[in-house]
Formats: sequence, structure tokens, C-alpha cells
Amino acid sequence: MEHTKPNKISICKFLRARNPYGMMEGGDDPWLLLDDANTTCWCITSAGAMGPDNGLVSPMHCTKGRSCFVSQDADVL
Amino acid sequence: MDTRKEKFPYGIPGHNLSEIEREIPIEEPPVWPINDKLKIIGKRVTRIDALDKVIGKAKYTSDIKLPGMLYAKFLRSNVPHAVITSIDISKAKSLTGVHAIHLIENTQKEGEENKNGKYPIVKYVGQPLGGIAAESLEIAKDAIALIKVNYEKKSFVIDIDTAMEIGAPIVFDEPITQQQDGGDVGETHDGSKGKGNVRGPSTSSFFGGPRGDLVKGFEEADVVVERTYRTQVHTHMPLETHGVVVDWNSDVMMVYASTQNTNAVRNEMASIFNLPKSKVRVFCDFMGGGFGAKHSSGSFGPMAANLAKKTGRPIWLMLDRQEEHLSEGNRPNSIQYLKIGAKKNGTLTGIQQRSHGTAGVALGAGVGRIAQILYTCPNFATEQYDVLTNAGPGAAWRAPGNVQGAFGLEQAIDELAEKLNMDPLTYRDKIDKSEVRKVERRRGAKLFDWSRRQPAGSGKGVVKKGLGVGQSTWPRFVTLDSSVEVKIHNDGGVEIRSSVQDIGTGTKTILAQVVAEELGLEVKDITVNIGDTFFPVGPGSGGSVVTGSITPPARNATYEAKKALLKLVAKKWETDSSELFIENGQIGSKKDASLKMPFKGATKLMRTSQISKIASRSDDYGGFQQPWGLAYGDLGSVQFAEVSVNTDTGFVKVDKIVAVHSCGRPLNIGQLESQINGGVIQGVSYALYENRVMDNGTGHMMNANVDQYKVPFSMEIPEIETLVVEEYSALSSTDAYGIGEPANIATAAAIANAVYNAIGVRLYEIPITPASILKALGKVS
Repeated sequence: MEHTKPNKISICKFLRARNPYGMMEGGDDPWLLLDDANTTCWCITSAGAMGPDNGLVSPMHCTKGRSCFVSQDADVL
Repeated sequence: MDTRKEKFPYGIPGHNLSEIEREIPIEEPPVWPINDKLKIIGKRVTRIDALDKVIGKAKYTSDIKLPGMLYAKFLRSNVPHAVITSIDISKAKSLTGVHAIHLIENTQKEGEENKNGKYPIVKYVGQPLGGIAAESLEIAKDAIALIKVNYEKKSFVIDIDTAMEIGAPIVFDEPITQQQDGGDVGETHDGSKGKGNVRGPSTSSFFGGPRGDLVKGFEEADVVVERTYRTQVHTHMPLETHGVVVDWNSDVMMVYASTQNTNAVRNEMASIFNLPKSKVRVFCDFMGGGFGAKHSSGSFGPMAANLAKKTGRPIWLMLDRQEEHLSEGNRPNSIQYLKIGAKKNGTLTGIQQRSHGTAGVALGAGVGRIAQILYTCPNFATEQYDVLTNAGPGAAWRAPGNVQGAFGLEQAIDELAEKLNMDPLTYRDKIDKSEVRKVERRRGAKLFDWSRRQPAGSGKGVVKKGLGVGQSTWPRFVTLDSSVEVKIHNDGGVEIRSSVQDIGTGTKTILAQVVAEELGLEVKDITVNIGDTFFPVGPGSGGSVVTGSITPPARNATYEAKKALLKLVAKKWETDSSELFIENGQIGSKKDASLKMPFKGATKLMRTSQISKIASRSDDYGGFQQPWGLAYGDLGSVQFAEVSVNTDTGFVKVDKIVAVHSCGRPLNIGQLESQINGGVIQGVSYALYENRVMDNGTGHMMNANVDQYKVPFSMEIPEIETLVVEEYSALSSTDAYGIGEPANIATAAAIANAVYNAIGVRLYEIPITPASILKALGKVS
């Protein structure tokens, strides 16, 4: 069992993900990437697996640079 | 350091029970002995809400009725892939009784041109497009039928094999490109597969990445099994469908939710509507089942809230069964290639796994990590790929990926045992290092009478009997963000509060047991108020984390409250509170047996109306620091299956399952048996019946109902015998863990192995149907 925490990645605050180990809310702590193959992801603004830009929702995609990205610090939708 | 040392029970009673010394935080309660010496813990305590459920007093989300409440219904797509050019709501709007229509539209950021169109692109049949609130559900349904959606249709792909082909219709406009989009990218096994709709591979997990050298491993092998296994899409079928009632008044958004995670729903709704978490209250008192797909507010939560906002009235929005099948999650299918090598003496030398699965428009179609961790093997690698298709999204489903993975692995291990001329159980004794599974195999084999097993296909007559075994492992997770409040009121009442929900597994009852045991009271003396986010935060009900996460703080908070109460008594008796104890509802003194005071009498000594203590889950004992709020351990299970196969009709009947499980210190044997029964029945259903059938020509699910989507009825449910093995690991103040996931993992594999034992021909695909049996026997083409 590895205990190495992955590097911080800023993930859109509206991403949610769940794998066998638990749930993740968007932000800076992407530990769920440790089991990418068993992680389901959804965007809470578009309420599904497709983002507001019609693209795939995933921790690797929902990062800065995507048109619908909202940072953890943003306080408005 | 504020710690003390204590000796804890350690190991398995009747096998290797011993003691282990742990250094624990000073504030933790004294160690509990093994269950034999406890009064309430580990006993067959009746559910505290059993009567309410039986007489219909229990109110589920769909039962909620509020003054002025409106009923809502979703508008959903009826094509699998399209751009929406327009939506005409004029007729629906004018229907009498319709109060509001809310269409899902792409949000546009200020100053940006919206290149994505007004409406989301449709990517599967059943995708939510909007909703209507009306005075009755019937009016809402009628109004939905009056909405005209104009589509510009696009090519689509439903079938996983087709979706993997070069030139297949692309589900997302931007094709997957391996290096950019592939998660924890490894090497592609095949240049033709890593593009288009195929994403991956995922090669590592919480348990690490590839290990050893596969080439060397297979060179060392004397025996190799190399097979491909297929599993089907399995949709969620909880008795209670997804849904909410939202009552959004000026102060608080009140959400009554059928959820496995009140806290997550609260957080989602607060984020979506830009509200402080304190202004959203999620409530779930009774819940009609959830198996992984109810951790979110989904599309129904925001839709109900938007309609509540537009109308100023409470909104009831529960999905119907068809919607549940189409859009609320499923266990993805899988195509698993597995190659396992072993030496003549059985020692494993290499395991190679490659899987493709589709979670429709979503991700997460891997096959778990069971092949990586169940057996000791120095050389291992996995590549797990997602294949995107125009179908409803997958969701977590009771041991995500691992059930699919176990189906392949446990059949391959059986096949390997046969090649090595070893009994499957004896072979597992050799290659499985888990002590608890060793005990489970031994005790289970005795109960099941494994010695009856005959060589594969050797039975006489038309109906052939077969026996099989399958095993599983499930990591022991806990969530540190798990808290409770325990109150002792000055009228003698005791209450425990948390936002943790009881999804039907009996969380309310085990919390009452823990509090009662610690206070020397009876379960009936404890009031359990949970499932409300205005109470301390509790864990989500997923990953089998609840028992291990919430019962230690429940005990710890109770212990603190007890200490506070005993201090009051000690003051009155002019003694030291450490000399006092509570037993059978009486406070007594170790020094002076004549001193007695009823618990209720002691609460009269309180100068305030209550003693209130809050506790949260602490780190595991023994210095086990948990990364990211996780713990780790092995919850083992071994399941035995007995089947009858009619070789003329192909009909398979599962006659009996013996399910042997461990979950640390068992808290309530009756509830554990109940949960194991449920897991086994779902496993039988997965092995033989349930199967999402899609029409590749239209993209529609053809059996989105409870008629043609087959689940077992009572005559198809086997006799189930359970054995729960106590196992003490001395890691928390209760040392107890959940059973939800483990109960479901091994069943399908055990049944498949039993079917092989019956007919002598192995089936590599589920569901196993009469047609597949007859085909395997060469009786039909």
C-alpha cells in the first residue's frame, strides 16, 4: 500500500467524485485520483457526467483553463 | 504525551485470540472485552425502528406531504445523441394546474460568448432536460407530454465493442487522446484501442501500481490460465427511488432526501445555490435502500429547488422506476482479460489483468483491485479502460468494480486449482495469506459440508448438482469526519444525534446499542436522532465505512457524558468518580456495595438541563496514521454456493449459499445476517438475472421496468446460512466495521464455480441464463 499523497491539483469546486474509498469535493485535495478506474465523477452545476461545456467530467479535465472552471475561492456561481 | 497503555483483545476467538498492548489517547474509554462478556454489543438486538416500519408509521421521503406542496416531473430526452435546436413549452405552460417550468440551459459567464448552445447536448436517452411543477403528478406528466423538443440528431454508439472500434461515433466531441486524458496513464496494450471513446488505462490505486516483472513471472510458471470474462450492466433498483422534497423558505432550504449522504447533499445544494451550509438543512429519517448511487443531490435536487424558487412552494420530486433505470446509475459492464501463472506447487508467479467497461457517458468502469490484493503474487499488472457510450451514467454500486473483478479472478483461481489437480479450497489455503479467511474457509466448509463436492460434471441424471466457492477482500475504511453528540437529559433521557443516515441497515440500532452498553442501560432507553444535517456531521453510507467511523465517537462521547454524570454522583457520595460504575440502570460503587442510585435519579443531580458531549472519529489506535482520512485492513469473506442445473432446460437454481464474513467486532448479529442476506440475494440476481438490455438501433433501454428487468422473486432466493467470524484488531474503542460491500462481492463467482462443478463446462459470462447453459452444453447453437 502506497502512502504517497499526489501533488496538489486545483480542481473545479463544482466537481464531485466518488470511488470505493469515499467522496471528493472539488478543490485542492485530489486523493481520489489514486483509483481512477473506479471513480465516478459528476458536475453539480450541470448535474451529470457532462460539464456545462458538454465535455467529459473528470478530475483531470475539470481544471483551470476549461471554460466552465470555477476555482475553490470563487464565491458565486 | 497524553496517552496510556492498555491491553486489548486481539485475534479470532476459538482460533488465535490473544492480547495486544496499545498506547491510546488518554481520553479514550477503557477497552471493551470480547463480545461474550458484553451485555448488548454483539447480541441479536431487534431494530429500534422495526415496529414503525412494519405498521407503516415510518415516513420515507416520498411520504412527505407539506402545505401547498407541488409535484414535479422531469422532461427527458428520447434520443441518444443530439443537439437541441428548440424547446416549445407553450402548450405545457397553458395547461391548468401547471405552476412552473424550468429548462436546463447552459450557463453563460459574463462577457463570454456561449459557444455551447442554449441547451446541453443530449448524450443518452433519459437525460434530464427540464422539469415541471404542477398541482398533481398527473398534471405534471400531462404537461411534460405537451412539450415539443426539436433535435438535430447525431450518430451514436451503445454497444461497448462497437464503441471501441476506430471510426465509431464519438460520444464526446473531443475524442479521448491517451496521454492527455488518461488519469494515471500507463502504457497502452494495443495502439488501436487508446483513442476515440476509450480512456485509460488506469494502472494503479490506493494499493499501489504494477509490481514485479510479468514476463519473468510467466516464464517461471508451470501452469497458466488465460481467459476473458464478461459481465453485464446492472442498474440500481432500490425499493425507494431517488428523489427529494424541497421546501425553500426565506430562512432555510429544507431538503427531505432519499440519500446515503445527507452531508454531501447539503454541501452540493449549498454550492449550487451559493448558500452558506448553515442555510441548507437535509433530512433523511427513513430510507428505502441505496447501494452506492445515492450520494448526491443529482439532477433532481437542483431541479426541485429551482422549481421551489420559481413557485415559492414546496416541491415533491421522486423519480419513477423507468427514470431510475435510465439515468440514476448502474454497475458498469466489463470485458476482462486475465492471465494467471503458477508453479507446480501452486505458488502464483504472475497475474495480468486488462479490462474494458462502459459506464455510459460517465467514467469509473474499472474492475476493482481484488486481483491485485486478494492473493500473494510477486508479479502483477492491471490496465483498466473506460469506454464511453451513449447510455446512462454508471455510479458506485456496492463494492465498485470488485464484484466484476471477483467474477473473473475467482473463476480463474478455480481453473488453476483444477489444472494443478488440487481442491479449490485447499488451493486457496495455500495461496491466501489472510488468517481470517483461513478460519472462514474452515468453518464455512464444515457448515456447508464441502466434502460432498464431486468432480466437475460427474453427476448423473438431467438435473446436476454443483458446489462452488468464491472469496473476497474489502479494505477497512473509516471517515474521520464522523461526529456525534450524546446528551443526558435531567429527566433521565439519553439521546444521540448525528447527521449520519440509516439507509435501512440498522445504524440507528447499533448507535443505541453502543450508548446503552456504555451507560449500563437498555437499548429502549436511548433515543436516536440522526439523518439531519443540523446535527454533528456524519459519514456517508458508502464503502462500508459507517460502523467503523461512527460507533467509536458514539462510544467516546457517551463515555465523556457518563464521566460527567458520575462526577455529580461522586460529589454527593463524597467519593472518587473513578470508583463508580453504571450497571443495569443503577449507579454503584466498587468500594461500597451499599451505595446505589438509579440512573434517572442521578440525572436529577444535574444543575443544568443536560449534559452534552460531542466526539469525532480519532485516528486508529496503534499509531496507524491514515492518509486522507482512510484506514486500511482486510475484511474477508468466503461464500459457498450449491446449485442445481437442469441440463435439458438450462434452468439454474441456486439451492444454498453459506456466507462466512468478518467485520471486526460484530455489533448486532441479526442485522449483520440481514445485510449479508441482502448482499447474497443481489449476488444471485447479478449472476443469473439482472441485465440492462439496450436497443443498439435506437439507444433505448428495452427493459426499464420491474417486469422485464428480472430480479429474483421469493422462490428463486436460496437458503442462506451466515457465519460471522469475530475478529479483534484493537484499532478503535468499538473495533467494529461494516459488512455492506463484502456481502456482495463473492456471490456471483461462487455461483459460476458451482455451475461449472455441476455441468463440467465453464461459463465466462454473466448473467448465466438457460440459453447460455444450453449453448455451453452444445444443445443449441
